[in-house]
Amino acid sequence: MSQEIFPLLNKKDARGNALVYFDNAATTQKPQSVLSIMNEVYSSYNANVYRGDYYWSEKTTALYNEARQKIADFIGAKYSEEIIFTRNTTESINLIAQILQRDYLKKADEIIISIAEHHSNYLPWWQIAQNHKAKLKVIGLNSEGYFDINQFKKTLSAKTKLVAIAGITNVLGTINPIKEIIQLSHKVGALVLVDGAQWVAHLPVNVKALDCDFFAFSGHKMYGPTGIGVLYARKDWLSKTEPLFLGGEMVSNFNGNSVCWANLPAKFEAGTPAYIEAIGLGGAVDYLSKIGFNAIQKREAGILQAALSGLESIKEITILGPKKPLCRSGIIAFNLKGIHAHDLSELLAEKGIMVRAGEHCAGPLHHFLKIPASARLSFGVYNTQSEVDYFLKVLKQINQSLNYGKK
Amino acid sequence: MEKNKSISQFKNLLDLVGESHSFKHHGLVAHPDLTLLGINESCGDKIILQLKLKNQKVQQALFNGESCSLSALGAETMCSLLEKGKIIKPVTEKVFLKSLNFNFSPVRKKCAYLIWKTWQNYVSSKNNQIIKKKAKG
Repeated sequence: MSQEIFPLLNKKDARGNALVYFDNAATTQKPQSVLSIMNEVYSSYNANVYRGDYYWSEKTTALYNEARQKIADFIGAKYSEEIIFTRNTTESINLIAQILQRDYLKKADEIIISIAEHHSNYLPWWQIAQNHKAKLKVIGLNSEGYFDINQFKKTLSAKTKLVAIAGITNVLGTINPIKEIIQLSHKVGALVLVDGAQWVAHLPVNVKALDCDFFAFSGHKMYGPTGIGVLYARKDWLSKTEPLFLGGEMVSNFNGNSVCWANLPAKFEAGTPAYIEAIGLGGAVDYLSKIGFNAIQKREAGILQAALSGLESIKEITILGPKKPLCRSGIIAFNLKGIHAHDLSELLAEKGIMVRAGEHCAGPLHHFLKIPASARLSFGVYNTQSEVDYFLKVLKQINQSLNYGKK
Repeated sequence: MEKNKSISQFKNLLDLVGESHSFKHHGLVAHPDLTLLGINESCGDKIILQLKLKNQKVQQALFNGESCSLSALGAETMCSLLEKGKIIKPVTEKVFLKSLNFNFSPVRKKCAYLIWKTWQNYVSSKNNQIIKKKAKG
């Protein structure tokens, strides 16, 4: 987990200060192994996959297939064909939303989401409801700030056709009771889509054990490259479903009159895929597997605990969501009294600390909480206790200056 | 050199945050003749600019709403310029920036420009209406 294998984390700012990167929920930095494997493919044997009967194409194709298998194993999928490559979580969710709207949903059907969803897992369903293709039901938070499971139980009915929910929410960092949500949803015959964007780099996933119908995530939030994401869906569901995007690679026979779609997973991957990014994502899976989630969880839990107690010790700080680390991942959104989140994030940046400020693509949640914006810390495998201590020191300095200013 | 510049930027922004709590144009206009809303799409902040007019001349300009210190400075600057100029017409970017007198980073441009842009949009759409009316006449 050493920072040394992340080239960008070894950089200093113009003043020679170490940089502290606390914006891992937005994107993560890349280990040298991921950069190296992508560079190796580009510089040693790059050729389009499945196209050429020559070494370069064979080698690239083999690495691409290997990456898909690694990713399938990583999330516990039964078959590698259940891994559909997309650009990112957003595209994975939109792909399912478009197919369900086309083939499955009817006007009186209901879709359930939570108020804490990222726009990616809110807007596609919201628009379906706007177009009167189904009704949207939004579950709120309980008094502690967690997903309101009681409201969910009351909302579930035979009309519920889909439940779309984040495994870990991107602002509150809360870990939703996914297993229970899936079991309850399946009892009424609803499909379940899990937004795994904030999950895959922090907790182990097993889609078979979860028994979810769809699982979506992005490569760049788990130390892999941008431009590559994954949609997991069961093989039987994918086999019986018509493709959405049409073009090259996804067809096995087309004579102008009749068509035969390609086998899985190609049927859902029209056009030249981002194969080098997929290979890079395979490298990220290797990196995470090598460290192991026991070590990752232990380290991130320690940092989360330290940051939460440090923030709680400042009385002018308001933490969004539950205060205790129970069922929380390494994401903390907060506000400091007397200063807007954007001003705070710029002041922190001046001291080499990178955090996110704004609504974090979760407008409905901020509206629900009645706050305009928040600052957000989000941790990764390379963050350290001393970085948290430095952040708290700078934050206290800013807070004191603000208080002096008020006197 | 770089170090000093950055320390001063940290201090400048911290000072601005303090000052922004007591901007003299922060408030509500009683019975406003014109109310404009500026929304910063990148963070959801909303600033309201309110004007009291007399014979189509600006008597009073105030702003309120949720905003960062830079958006507030932009709004404060615009209120001062509108009260000073009195006329409902565009304020050039050059005049606005000179009056703003704050060295902001490029990513904060949306904050600083929020009310200036809101005003420009209002005035240009108003001009369009006038041009349309004239064309009709």
